[in-house]
Amino acid sequence: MSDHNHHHHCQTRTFWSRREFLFQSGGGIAGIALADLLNRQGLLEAAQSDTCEAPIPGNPFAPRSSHFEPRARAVISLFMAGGVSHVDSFDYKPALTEYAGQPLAESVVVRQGHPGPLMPSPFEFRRHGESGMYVSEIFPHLAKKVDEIAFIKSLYGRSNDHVQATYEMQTGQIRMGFPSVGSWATYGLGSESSSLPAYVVMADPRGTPKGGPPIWSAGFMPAMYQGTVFRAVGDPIVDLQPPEGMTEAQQRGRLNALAKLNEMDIAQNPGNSELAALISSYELAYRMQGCAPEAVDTSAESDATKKLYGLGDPVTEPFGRQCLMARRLVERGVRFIQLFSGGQGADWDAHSDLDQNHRARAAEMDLPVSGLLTDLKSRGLLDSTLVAWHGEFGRMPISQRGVGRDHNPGAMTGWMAGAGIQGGQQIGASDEFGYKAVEQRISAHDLHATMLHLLGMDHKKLTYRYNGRDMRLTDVHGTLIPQIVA
Amino acid sequence: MATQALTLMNNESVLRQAEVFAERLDAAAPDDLDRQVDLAYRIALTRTPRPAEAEVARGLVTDESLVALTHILFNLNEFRYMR
Repeated sequence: MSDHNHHHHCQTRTFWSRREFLFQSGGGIAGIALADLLNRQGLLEAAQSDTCEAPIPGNPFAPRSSHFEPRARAVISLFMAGGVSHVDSFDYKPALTEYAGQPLAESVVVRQGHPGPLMPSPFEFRRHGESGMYVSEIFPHLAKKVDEIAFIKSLYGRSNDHVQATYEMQTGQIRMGFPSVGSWATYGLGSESSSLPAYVVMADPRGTPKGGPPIWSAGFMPAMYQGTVFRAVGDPIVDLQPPEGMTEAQQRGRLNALAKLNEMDIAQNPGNSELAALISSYELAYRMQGCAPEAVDTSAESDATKKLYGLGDPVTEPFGRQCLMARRLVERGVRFIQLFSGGQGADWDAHSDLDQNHRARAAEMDLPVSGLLTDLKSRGLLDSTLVAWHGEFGRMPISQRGVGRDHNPGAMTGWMAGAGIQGGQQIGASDEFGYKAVEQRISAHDLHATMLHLLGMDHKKLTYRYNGRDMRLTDVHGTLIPQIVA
Repeated sequence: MATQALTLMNNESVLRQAEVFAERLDAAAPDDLDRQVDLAYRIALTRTPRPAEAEVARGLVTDESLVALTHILFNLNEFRYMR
Protein backbone atom coordinates (compact mmCIF):
# COMPACT_ATOMS: atom_id res chain seq x y z
CA MET A 1 0.00 0.00 0.00
CA SER A 2 2.62 2.52 1.08
CA ASP A 3 4.87 1.51 -1.83
CA HIS A 4 2.03 2.08 -4.21
CA ASN A 5 1.22 5.43 -2.65
CA HIS A 6 4.82 6.53 -2.74
CA HIS A 7 5.08 5.62 -6.39
CA HIS A 8 1.97 7.60 -7.15
CA HIS A 9 3.20 10.54 -5.10
CA CYS A 10 6.42 10.72 -7.11
CA GLN A 11 4.70 10.87 -10.47
CA THR A 12 4.55 14.21 -12.21
CA ARG A 13 1.54 16.08 -10.97
CA THR A 14 -1.09 17.17 -13.40
CA PHE A 15 -2.75 20.49 -12.80
CA TRP A 16 -6.17 21.18 -11.53
CA SER A 17 -7.78 22.88 -14.48
CA ARG A 18 -9.90 26.00 -14.25
CA ARG A 19 -12.80 24.15 -15.89
CA GLU A 20 -12.70 21.45 -13.27
CA PHE A 21 -12.13 23.93 -10.49
CA LEU A 22 -15.05 26.12 -11.42
CA PHE A 23 -17.62 23.79 -12.88
CA GLN A 24 -17.08 20.09 -12.22
CA SER A 25 -16.08 20.47 -8.61
CA GLY A 26 -18.63 23.19 -7.96
CA GLY A 27 -21.81 21.58 -9.17
CA GLY A 28 -25.24 22.88 -8.27
CA ILE A 29 -26.26 26.39 -7.43
CA ALA A 30 -23.17 27.22 -5.35
CA GLY A 31 -20.83 26.46 -8.23
CA ILE A 32 -22.85 28.70 -10.48
CA ALA A 33 -22.70 31.43 -7.85
CA LEU A 34 -18.90 31.28 -7.75
CA ALA A 35 -18.60 31.18 -11.52
CA ASP A 36 -20.94 34.17 -11.68
CA LEU A 37 -18.95 36.04 -9.05
CA LEU A 38 -15.66 35.43 -10.83
CA ASN A 39 -17.20 36.17 -14.20
CA ARG A 40 -18.54 39.52 -13.07
CA GLN A 41 -15.04 40.40 -11.97
CA GLY A 42 -13.75 39.52 -15.42
CA LEU A 43 -11.56 36.77 -14.02
CA LEU A 44 -12.50 33.91 -16.28
CA GLU A 45 -10.85 35.09 -19.46
CA ALA A 46 -7.95 33.05 -20.84
CA ALA A 47 -7.96 30.74 -17.84
CA GLN A 48 -8.23 27.39 -19.53
CA SER A 49 -4.65 26.23 -19.88
CA ASP A 50 -2.99 23.76 -17.52
CA THR A 51 0.50 25.25 -17.39
CA CYS A 52 2.63 27.11 -14.88
CA GLU A 53 1.93 30.31 -16.86
CA ALA A 54 -1.88 30.30 -17.05
CA PRO A 55 -3.59 33.03 -15.03
CA ILE A 56 -5.50 32.10 -11.88
CA PRO A 57 -9.04 33.47 -11.45
CA GLY A 58 -9.20 35.90 -8.55
CA ASN A 59 -5.41 35.92 -8.10
CA PRO A 60 -4.59 38.89 -5.84
CA PHE A 61 -1.14 38.99 -7.46
CA ALA A 62 -2.45 39.46 -11.00
CA PRO A 63 -0.19 42.03 -12.71
CA ARG A 64 -1.28 45.61 -12.13
CA SER A 65 -0.34 48.55 -14.32
CA SER A 66 2.37 50.91 -13.12
CA HIS A 67 2.00 54.70 -12.83
CA PHE A 68 4.16 55.20 -15.91
CA GLU A 69 6.29 53.15 -18.31
CA PRO A 70 8.67 51.09 -16.14
CA ARG A 71 12.40 50.73 -16.78
CA ALA A 72 12.55 47.45 -14.84
CA ARG A 73 9.96 44.73 -14.38
CA ALA A 74 11.94 42.78 -11.76
CA VAL A 75 14.42 43.51 -8.97
CA ILE A 76 17.27 41.37 -7.67
CA SER A 77 18.41 42.82 -4.35
CA LEU A 78 21.80 41.63 -3.08
CA PHE A 79 22.12 42.41 0.63
CA MET A 80 25.62 42.14 2.19
CA ALA A 81 24.52 41.39 5.74
CA GLY A 82 26.68 42.58 8.63
CA GLY A 83 27.87 45.76 6.94
CA VAL A 84 30.31 45.57 4.03
CA SER A 85 33.13 48.11 4.33
CA HIS A 86 32.96 50.86 1.71
CA VAL A 87 36.61 51.87 2.22
CA ASP A 88 37.76 48.29 1.55
CA SER A 89 35.50 47.61 -1.46
CA PHE A 90 34.68 50.47 -3.85
CA ASP A 91 35.35 53.78 -2.00
CA TYR A 92 39.13 54.18 -2.32
CA LYS A 93 40.63 56.44 0.34
CA PRO A 94 44.38 57.10 -0.15
CA ALA A 95 44.21 59.50 2.83
CA LEU A 96 43.91 56.47 5.10
CA THR A 97 47.43 55.49 4.05
CA GLU A 98 48.78 59.03 4.16
CA TYR A 99 47.47 59.63 7.70
CA ALA A 100 47.73 56.03 8.93
CA GLY A 101 48.17 55.77 12.70
CA GLN A 102 46.85 59.29 13.38
CA PRO A 103 43.56 59.88 15.22
CA LEU A 104 40.46 60.83 13.25
CA ALA A 105 40.36 64.57 13.92
CA GLU A 106 36.92 64.81 15.51
CA SER A 107 35.07 63.10 18.33
CA VAL A 108 34.07 59.65 17.17
CA VAL A 109 31.07 57.56 18.21
CA VAL A 110 31.71 53.83 17.83
CA ARG A 111 29.37 50.89 18.40
CA GLN A 112 31.54 48.41 20.27
CA GLY A 113 34.45 50.43 21.62
CA HIS A 114 38.25 49.97 21.32
CA PRO A 115 38.60 52.81 18.77
CA GLY A 116 42.06 53.04 17.26
CA PRO A 117 43.71 55.40 14.78
CA LEU A 118 43.07 55.75 11.03
CA MET A 119 43.76 52.40 9.36
CA PRO A 120 44.60 51.94 5.66
CA SER A 121 42.78 49.25 3.75
CA PRO A 122 44.72 45.98 3.77
CA PHE A 123 43.66 45.60 0.14
CA GLU A 124 45.16 47.10 -2.99
CA PHE A 125 42.94 49.33 -5.14
CA ARG A 126 43.28 49.65 -8.91
CA ARG A 127 41.36 51.51 -11.60
CA HIS A 128 39.24 49.33 -13.90
CA GLY A 129 37.26 49.60 -17.12
CA GLU A 130 36.98 52.52 -19.50
CA SER A 131 35.42 54.51 -16.68
CA GLY A 132 38.46 53.96 -14.45
CA MET A 133 36.47 53.06 -11.34
CA TYR A 134 38.55 52.07 -8.31
CA VAL A 135 37.90 48.53 -7.06
CA SER A 136 39.59 46.65 -4.24
CA GLU A 137 41.59 43.51 -5.12
CA ILE A 138 39.06 41.28 -3.33
CA PHE A 139 36.50 41.84 -6.14
CA PRO A 140 38.50 40.81 -9.25
CA HIS A 141 35.40 39.69 -11.18
CA LEU A 142 33.14 42.63 -10.38
CA ALA A 143 36.10 44.83 -11.33
CA LYS A 144 35.47 43.72 -14.94
CA LYS A 145 31.87 44.96 -14.71
CA VAL A 146 32.42 48.54 -13.50
CA ASP A 147 31.37 50.05 -16.84
CA GLU A 148 27.91 48.55 -16.27
CA ILE A 149 27.63 49.62 -12.61
CA ALA A 150 26.54 52.93 -11.06
CA PHE A 151 28.28 53.31 -7.69
CA ILE A 152 26.46 55.31 -5.00
CA LYS A 153 29.17 56.51 -2.62
CA SER A 154 27.15 58.77 -0.35
CA LEU A 155 24.61 56.43 1.23
CA TYR A 156 24.04 56.95 4.93
CA GLY A 157 21.80 55.47 7.63
CA ARG A 158 20.42 56.44 11.03
CA SER A 159 21.47 53.52 13.24
CA ASN A 160 24.76 51.84 13.99
CA ASP A 161 23.01 48.68 15.19
CA HIS A 162 22.64 45.84 12.65
CA VAL A 163 18.95 45.18 13.27
CA GLN A 164 17.71 48.77 13.12
CA ALA A 165 20.04 49.63 10.22
CA THR A 166 18.82 46.60 8.26
CA TYR A 167 15.18 47.53 8.88
CA GLU A 168 15.94 51.03 7.61
CA MET A 169 17.49 49.78 4.37
CA GLN A 170 14.54 47.42 3.88
CA THR A 171 11.54 49.45 5.09
CA GLY A 172 12.74 53.04 5.43
CA GLN A 173 12.15 52.87 9.20
CA ILE A 174 14.56 51.77 11.92
CA ARG A 175 11.60 50.35 13.89
CA MET A 176 10.18 46.89 13.34
CA GLY A 177 6.76 46.47 11.74
CA PHE A 178 6.86 48.31 8.42
CA PRO A 179 6.47 46.76 4.95
CA SER A 180 9.72 45.96 3.16
CA VAL A 181 10.57 47.39 -0.26
CA GLY A 182 9.78 44.00 -1.85
CA SER A 183 6.33 44.05 -0.26
CA TRP A 184 5.67 47.54 -1.61
CA ALA A 185 6.81 46.48 -5.09
CA THR A 186 4.48 43.46 -5.17
CA TYR A 187 1.63 45.43 -3.56
CA GLY A 188 2.00 48.02 -6.32
CA LEU A 189 2.59 45.78 -9.32
CA GLY A 190 1.45 42.23 -8.49
CA SER A 191 3.41 39.46 -10.16
CA GLU A 192 3.91 38.19 -13.70
CA SER A 193 3.93 34.64 -12.33
CA SER A 194 0.83 32.66 -11.42
CA SER A 195 2.71 29.67 -10.07
CA LEU A 196 5.40 31.20 -7.84
CA PRO A 197 5.46 33.69 -4.95
CA ALA A 198 5.71 37.33 -6.08
CA TYR A 199 8.48 38.17 -3.59
CA VAL A 200 11.13 35.53 -2.94
CA VAL A 201 13.82 35.71 -0.25
CA MET A 202 16.92 33.51 -0.12
CA ALA A 203 18.86 33.75 3.13
CA ASP A 204 22.48 32.71 3.49
CA PRO A 205 22.39 28.93 4.13
CA ARG A 206 24.51 29.56 7.27
CA GLY A 207 21.73 31.58 8.89
CA THR A 208 19.29 34.46 8.58
CA PRO A 209 20.64 38.00 8.90
CA LYS A 210 20.38 39.85 12.23
CA GLY A 211 16.81 41.13 12.55
CA GLY A 212 15.20 37.97 11.19
CA PRO A 213 11.92 37.67 9.26
CA PRO A 214 10.75 41.29 9.94
CA ILE A 215 13.45 42.18 7.36
CA TRP A 216 11.11 40.88 4.62
CA SER A 217 7.82 41.39 6.41
CA ALA A 218 4.72 43.04 4.95
CA GLY A 219 4.34 45.11 8.14
CA PHE A 220 0.82 46.50 8.30
CA MET A 221 -0.11 45.22 4.84
CA PRO A 222 -1.85 41.85 4.33
CA ALA A 223 0.52 38.94 5.03
CA MET A 224 0.42 37.79 1.40
CA TYR A 225 2.81 40.63 0.50
CA GLN A 226 5.61 39.36 2.78
CA GLY A 227 8.66 37.69 1.26
CA THR A 228 8.47 33.92 0.83
CA VAL A 229 11.68 32.25 1.98
CA PHE A 230 13.14 29.74 -0.48
CA ARG A 231 15.39 27.21 1.20
CA ALA A 232 18.83 26.39 -0.17
CA VAL A 233 18.40 22.61 -0.10
CA GLY A 234 15.45 20.27 -0.64
CA ASP A 235 12.03 21.62 -1.56
CA PRO A 236 12.33 25.40 -1.88
CA ILE A 237 9.19 26.11 0.17
CA VAL A 238 8.26 24.69 3.57
CA ASP A 239 5.41 22.14 3.36
CA LEU A 240 5.52 22.26 -0.45
CA GLN A 241 4.67 18.58 -0.91
CA PRO A 242 1.99 16.41 0.74
CA PRO A 243 3.36 14.06 3.40
CA GLU A 244 4.42 10.52 2.52
CA GLY A 245 1.39 8.32 2.13
CA MET A 246 -1.05 10.93 0.87
CA THR A 247 -1.86 10.20 -2.76
CA GLU A 248 -2.53 12.85 -5.36
CA ALA A 249 -6.07 11.45 -5.67
CA GLN A 250 -6.62 11.91 -1.94
CA GLN A 251 -5.31 15.46 -2.01
CA ARG A 252 -7.41 16.30 -5.03
CA GLY A 253 -10.49 14.80 -3.35
CA ARG A 254 -9.91 16.93 -0.28
CA LEU A 255 -9.31 20.09 -2.31
CA ASN A 256 -12.44 19.49 -4.38
CA ALA A 257 -14.52 19.10 -1.21
CA LEU A 258 -12.86 22.20 0.22
CA ALA A 259 -13.71 24.18 -2.93
CA LYS A 260 -17.34 23.04 -2.76
CA LEU A 261 -17.69 24.04 0.89
CA ASN A 262 -15.95 27.38 0.32
CA GLU A 263 -18.23 28.06 -2.65
CA MET A 264 -21.24 27.49 -0.41
CA ASP A 265 -19.66 29.99 1.97
CA ILE A 266 -19.45 32.52 -0.86
CA ALA A 267 -23.09 31.85 -1.73
CA GLN A 268 -23.93 32.77 1.87
CA ASN A 269 -21.83 35.93 1.66
CA PRO A 270 -22.53 37.35 -1.81
CA GLY A 271 -20.40 40.27 -2.94
CA ASN A 272 -17.39 39.40 -0.80
CA SER A 273 -14.66 39.32 -3.44
CA GLU A 274 -11.99 38.58 -0.82
CA LEU A 275 -13.39 35.08 -0.47
CA ALA A 276 -12.63 34.42 -4.13
CA ALA A 277 -9.05 35.57 -3.46
CA LEU A 278 -8.83 33.05 -0.63
CA ILE A 279 -9.99 30.26 -2.91
CA SER A 280 -7.41 31.35 -5.46
CA SER A 281 -4.68 31.08 -2.80
CA TYR A 282 -5.34 27.32 -2.73
CA GLU A 283 -5.09 27.27 -6.51
CA LEU A 284 -1.73 29.07 -6.32
CA ALA A 285 -0.57 26.70 -3.56
CA TYR A 286 -1.52 23.66 -5.65
CA ARG A 287 0.24 25.21 -8.65
CA MET A 288 3.41 25.84 -6.58
CA GLN A 289 3.64 22.15 -5.71
CA GLY A 290 4.11 21.37 -9.38
CA CYS A 291 5.95 24.49 -10.60
CA ALA A 292 8.26 25.68 -7.80
CA PRO A 293 10.64 22.69 -7.77
CA GLU A 294 11.26 23.08 -11.52
CA ALA A 295 11.76 26.83 -11.17
CA VAL A 296 14.70 26.38 -8.80
CA ASP A 297 16.15 23.20 -10.32
CA THR A 298 19.49 24.27 -11.79
CA SER A 299 20.52 20.79 -12.96
CA ALA A 300 19.40 21.37 -16.57
CA GLU A 301 21.54 24.49 -16.94
CA SER A 302 24.52 24.16 -19.27
CA ASP A 303 28.00 23.52 -17.89
CA ALA A 304 29.05 26.94 -19.18
CA THR A 305 26.25 28.62 -17.23
CA LYS A 306 27.04 26.67 -14.07
CA LYS A 307 30.68 27.73 -14.39
CA LEU A 308 29.64 31.35 -14.85
CA TYR A 309 28.03 31.30 -11.38
CA GLY A 310 30.82 29.29 -9.73
CA LEU A 311 28.87 26.07 -9.28
CA GLY A 312 31.21 23.16 -8.57
CA ASP A 313 33.53 25.27 -6.40
CA PRO A 314 32.59 24.89 -2.72
CA VAL A 315 33.49 28.54 -2.02
CA THR A 316 31.25 30.09 -4.68
CA GLU A 317 28.60 27.40 -5.10
CA PRO A 318 26.17 28.38 -2.28
CA PHE A 319 25.75 32.03 -3.35
CA GLY A 320 26.24 31.09 -7.00
CA ARG A 321 23.32 28.67 -6.89
CA GLN A 322 21.12 31.36 -5.34
CA CYS A 323 22.15 33.88 -8.02
CA LEU A 324 21.33 31.33 -10.72
CA MET A 325 17.97 30.59 -9.04
CA ALA A 326 17.33 34.35 -9.02
CA ARG A 327 17.83 34.52 -12.81
CA ARG A 328 15.44 31.57 -13.29
CA LEU A 329 12.85 33.28 -11.10
CA VAL A 330 13.18 36.53 -13.08
CA GLU A 331 12.60 34.53 -16.28
CA ARG A 332 9.43 33.11 -14.74
CA GLY A 333 8.00 36.50 -13.80
CA VAL A 334 8.80 36.79 -10.09
CA ARG A 335 8.75 40.51 -9.22
CA PHE A 336 11.25 40.87 -6.37
CA ILE A 337 14.06 38.52 -5.39
CA GLN A 338 16.26 39.21 -2.40
CA LEU A 339 19.50 37.39 -1.64
CA PHE A 340 21.55 37.73 1.53
CA SER A 341 25.31 37.25 1.54
CA GLY A 342 26.11 36.51 5.16
CA GLY A 343 24.00 35.30 8.05
CA GLN A 344 24.47 34.91 11.77
CA GLY A 345 27.95 33.53 12.41
CA ALA A 346 29.47 34.32 9.01
CA ASP A 347 28.68 37.77 7.71
CA TRP A 348 30.48 41.02 6.74
CA ASP A 349 30.71 42.25 10.36
CA ALA A 350 34.50 42.64 10.44
CA HIS A 351 35.20 43.79 14.00
CA SER A 352 38.17 41.57 14.70
CA ASP A 353 39.87 40.60 11.42
CA LEU A 354 38.91 42.72 8.48
CA ASP A 355 41.48 41.23 6.11
CA GLN A 356 40.43 37.61 6.63
CA ASN A 357 36.68 38.39 6.96
CA HIS A 358 36.25 40.53 3.85
CA ARG A 359 38.50 38.31 1.71
CA ALA A 360 36.35 35.30 2.64
CA ARG A 361 32.96 37.01 2.08
CA ALA A 362 34.07 38.64 -1.18
CA ALA A 363 35.42 35.34 -2.52
CA GLU A 364 31.98 33.80 -1.97
CA MET A 365 29.94 36.41 -3.89
CA ASP A 366 32.30 38.23 -6.32
CA LEU A 367 32.27 35.64 -9.11
CA PRO A 368 28.57 34.68 -8.74
CA VAL A 369 27.36 38.30 -8.88
CA SER A 370 29.62 39.04 -11.85
CA GLY A 371 28.27 35.86 -13.50
CA LEU A 372 24.70 36.97 -12.81
CA LEU A 373 25.31 40.30 -14.57
CA THR A 374 26.90 38.50 -17.54
CA ASP A 375 24.09 35.95 -17.77
CA LEU A 376 21.26 38.49 -17.45
CA LYS A 377 22.87 40.57 -20.19
CA SER A 378 23.43 37.69 -22.59
CA ARG A 379 19.79 36.63 -22.20
CA GLY A 380 18.52 40.15 -22.81
CA LEU A 381 17.18 40.44 -19.26
CA LEU A 382 19.56 43.02 -17.80
CA ASP A 383 17.77 46.00 -19.38
CA SER A 384 14.51 45.04 -17.66
CA THR A 385 16.00 43.88 -14.35
CA LEU A 386 17.36 46.11 -11.59
CA VAL A 387 20.27 44.58 -9.69
CA ALA A 388 20.94 46.44 -6.45
CA TRP A 389 23.82 45.79 -4.02
CA HIS A 390 24.38 47.20 -0.53
CA GLY A 391 24.69 46.34 3.16
CA GLU A 392 23.12 47.97 6.22
CA PHE A 393 25.98 50.41 6.94
CA GLY A 394 29.60 51.09 6.07
CA ARG A 395 32.57 50.65 8.39
CA MET A 396 34.81 53.06 10.30
CA PRO A 397 38.00 54.51 8.78
CA ILE A 398 39.69 53.96 12.15
CA SER A 399 40.74 50.58 13.42
CA GLN A 400 39.12 48.50 16.14
CA ARG A 401 41.76 46.72 18.25
CA GLY A 402 44.16 47.43 15.38
CA VAL A 403 42.73 44.76 13.06
CA GLY A 404 39.01 45.38 12.52
CA ARG A 405 36.59 48.18 11.75
CA ASP A 406 33.50 49.12 13.76
CA HIS A 407 30.07 50.02 12.31
CA ASN A 408 29.69 53.32 10.46
CA PRO A 409 26.21 54.44 9.37
CA GLY A 410 27.70 57.81 8.39
CA ALA A 411 28.84 56.54 4.99
CA MET A 412 28.39 53.46 2.87
CA THR A 413 28.66 52.49 -0.78
CA GLY A 414 25.95 50.70 -2.73
CA TRP A 415 25.56 50.08 -6.42
CA MET A 416 22.93 49.54 -9.06
CA ALA A 417 23.14 47.86 -12.46
CA GLY A 418 20.68 46.96 -15.20
CA ALA A 419 17.32 48.68 -15.82
CA GLY A 420 19.01 50.85 -18.44
CA ILE A 421 21.08 52.61 -15.77
CA GLN A 422 24.23 54.36 -17.05
CA GLY A 423 27.18 52.30 -15.83
CA GLY A 424 30.71 53.45 -15.09
CA GLN A 425 29.58 56.40 -12.99
CA GLN A 426 29.96 57.33 -9.36
CA ILE A 427 27.28 59.26 -7.55
CA GLY A 428 27.93 61.33 -4.43
CA ALA A 429 31.01 61.10 -2.24
CA SER A 430 32.12 60.56 1.33
CA ASP A 431 34.76 62.74 3.01
CA GLU A 432 38.47 62.09 2.46
CA PHE A 433 38.53 59.36 5.13
CA GLY A 434 35.12 57.81 4.38
CA TYR A 435 33.73 58.80 7.80
CA LYS A 436 30.66 60.71 6.59
CA ALA A 437 28.76 61.03 3.32
CA VAL A 438 29.24 64.64 2.28
CA GLU A 439 28.38 65.21 -1.41
CA GLN A 440 24.81 64.45 -2.58
CA ARG A 441 23.91 62.54 0.59
CA ILE A 442 21.52 59.66 -0.22
CA SER A 443 19.20 58.08 2.36
CA ALA A 444 17.32 54.78 2.30
CA HIS A 445 14.21 56.83 1.38
CA ASP A 446 16.03 58.24 -1.66
CA LEU A 447 17.17 54.75 -2.66
CA HIS A 448 13.61 53.39 -2.28
CA ALA A 449 12.04 56.28 -4.20
CA THR A 450 14.50 55.56 -7.02
CA MET A 451 13.82 51.82 -7.01
CA LEU A 452 10.04 52.37 -7.21
CA HIS A 453 10.60 54.89 -10.02
CA LEU A 454 12.56 52.34 -12.04
CA LEU A 455 9.60 49.96 -11.56
CA GLY A 456 7.30 52.62 -13.01
CA MET A 457 5.84 53.87 -9.75
CA ASP A 458 5.72 57.29 -8.13
CA HIS A 459 6.75 56.81 -4.49
CA LYS A 460 4.41 59.69 -3.49
CA LYS A 461 1.40 57.98 -5.09
CA LEU A 462 1.98 54.40 -3.95
CA THR A 463 0.10 54.43 -0.64
CA TYR A 464 -1.53 51.99 1.75
CA ARG A 465 -4.20 53.25 4.19
CA TYR A 466 -3.28 52.31 7.75
CA ASN A 467 -3.87 53.90 11.14
CA GLY A 468 -5.73 56.80 9.54
CA ARG A 469 -2.86 57.68 7.19
CA ASP A 470 -2.01 56.99 3.59
CA MET A 471 1.31 55.31 4.41
CA ARG A 472 4.25 55.42 1.96
CA LEU A 473 7.47 53.42 1.69
CA THR A 474 9.27 56.78 1.80
CA ASP A 475 7.10 58.25 4.61
CA VAL A 476 7.22 62.03 3.93
CA HIS A 477 10.72 61.85 2.41
CA GLY A 478 12.46 60.53 -0.69
CA THR A 479 14.28 62.27 -3.54
CA LEU A 480 14.98 60.49 -6.82
CA ILE A 481 18.67 59.98 -7.59
CA PRO A 482 18.87 62.01 -10.83
CA GLN A 483 21.89 60.18 -12.26
CA ILE A 484 20.06 56.83 -11.88
CA VAL A 485 16.69 57.87 -13.34
CA ALA A 486 18.22 59.97 -16.12
CA MET B 1 -1.86 33.44 1.21
CA ALA B 2 -0.54 30.49 -0.72
CA THR B 3 2.19 29.51 1.74
CA GLN B 4 -0.41 29.36 4.53
CA ALA B 5 -2.53 27.15 2.28
CA LEU B 6 0.47 24.87 1.74
CA THR B 7 1.07 24.55 5.48
CA LEU B 8 -2.59 23.87 6.25
CA MET B 9 -2.71 21.31 3.42
CA ASN B 10 0.62 19.54 3.91
CA ASN B 11 2.14 20.17 7.32
CA GLU B 12 2.53 17.03 9.45
CA SER B 13 1.43 18.68 12.68
CA VAL B 14 -1.75 20.06 11.06
CA LEU B 15 -2.53 16.56 9.79
CA ARG B 16 -1.81 15.15 13.24
CA GLN B 17 -4.34 17.59 14.74
CA ALA B 18 -6.85 16.47 12.12
CA GLU B 19 -6.28 12.87 13.21
CA VAL B 20 -6.77 13.77 16.89
CA PHE B 21 -9.97 15.66 16.00
CA ALA B 22 -11.23 12.64 14.03
CA GLU B 23 -10.46 10.32 16.96
CA ARG B 24 -12.44 12.61 19.24
CA LEU B 25 -15.45 12.53 16.88
CA ASP B 26 -15.22 8.77 16.53
CA ALA B 27 -15.12 8.30 20.30
CA ALA B 28 -18.08 10.66 20.85
CA ALA B 29 -20.29 9.16 18.15
CA PRO B 30 -18.98 5.75 17.12
CA ASP B 31 -20.34 4.49 13.78
CA ASP B 32 -22.78 7.42 13.48
CA LEU B 33 -21.71 9.46 10.44
CA ASP B 34 -24.55 11.98 10.67
CA ARG B 35 -23.69 12.81 14.26
CA GLN B 36 -19.95 12.90 13.55
CA VAL B 37 -20.50 15.48 10.81
CA ASP B 38 -22.86 17.48 13.01
CA LEU B 39 -20.37 17.44 15.92
CA ALA B 40 -17.47 18.32 13.65
CA TYR B 41 -19.22 21.50 12.53
CA ARG B 42 -20.32 22.38 16.06
CA ILE B 43 -16.81 21.97 17.47
CA ALA B 44 -14.89 23.58 14.59
CA LEU B 45 -17.31 26.33 13.55
CA THR B 46 -19.76 26.58 16.49
CA ARG B 47 -22.73 25.96 14.22
CA THR B 48 -24.56 23.05 12.66
CA PRO B 49 -23.91 22.23 8.99
CA ARG B 50 -26.40 23.30 6.36
CA PRO B 51 -27.91 20.29 4.53
CA ALA B 52 -25.82 20.79 1.38
CA GLU B 53 -22.65 21.08 3.49
CA ALA B 54 -23.50 17.92 5.44
CA GLU B 55 -23.92 16.10 2.12
CA VAL B 56 -20.47 17.13 0.87
CA ALA B 57 -18.97 16.29 4.28
CA ARG B 58 -20.55 12.82 4.39
CA GLY B 59 -19.42 12.21 0.82
CA LEU B 60 -15.80 13.04 1.68
CA VAL B 61 -15.85 10.70 4.69
CA THR B 62 -17.38 7.91 2.61
CA ASP B 63 -14.95 8.43 -0.28
CA GLU B 64 -11.89 8.74 1.97
CA SER B 65 -11.96 9.09 5.74
CA LEU B 66 -13.10 11.10 8.73
CA VAL B 67 -9.58 12.58 8.87
CA ALA B 68 -10.11 13.98 5.37
CA LEU B 69 -13.14 15.89 6.69
CA THR B 70 -11.44 17.22 9.83
CA HIS B 71 -8.42 18.24 7.73
CA ILE B 72 -10.61 20.15 5.31
CA LEU B 73 -12.48 21.89 8.15
CA PHE B 74 -9.13 23.39 9.27
CA ASN B 75 -8.73 24.76 5.74
CA LEU B 76 -12.18 26.35 5.39
CA ASN B 77 -12.33 30.10 4.92
CA GLU B 78 -14.82 30.17 7.77
CA PHE B 79 -12.39 28.38 10.10
CA ARG B 80 -9.37 30.47 9.10
CA TYR B 81 -10.90 33.96 9.23
CA MET B 82 -13.03 35.86 11.73
CA ARG B 83 -16.33 37.20 10.48
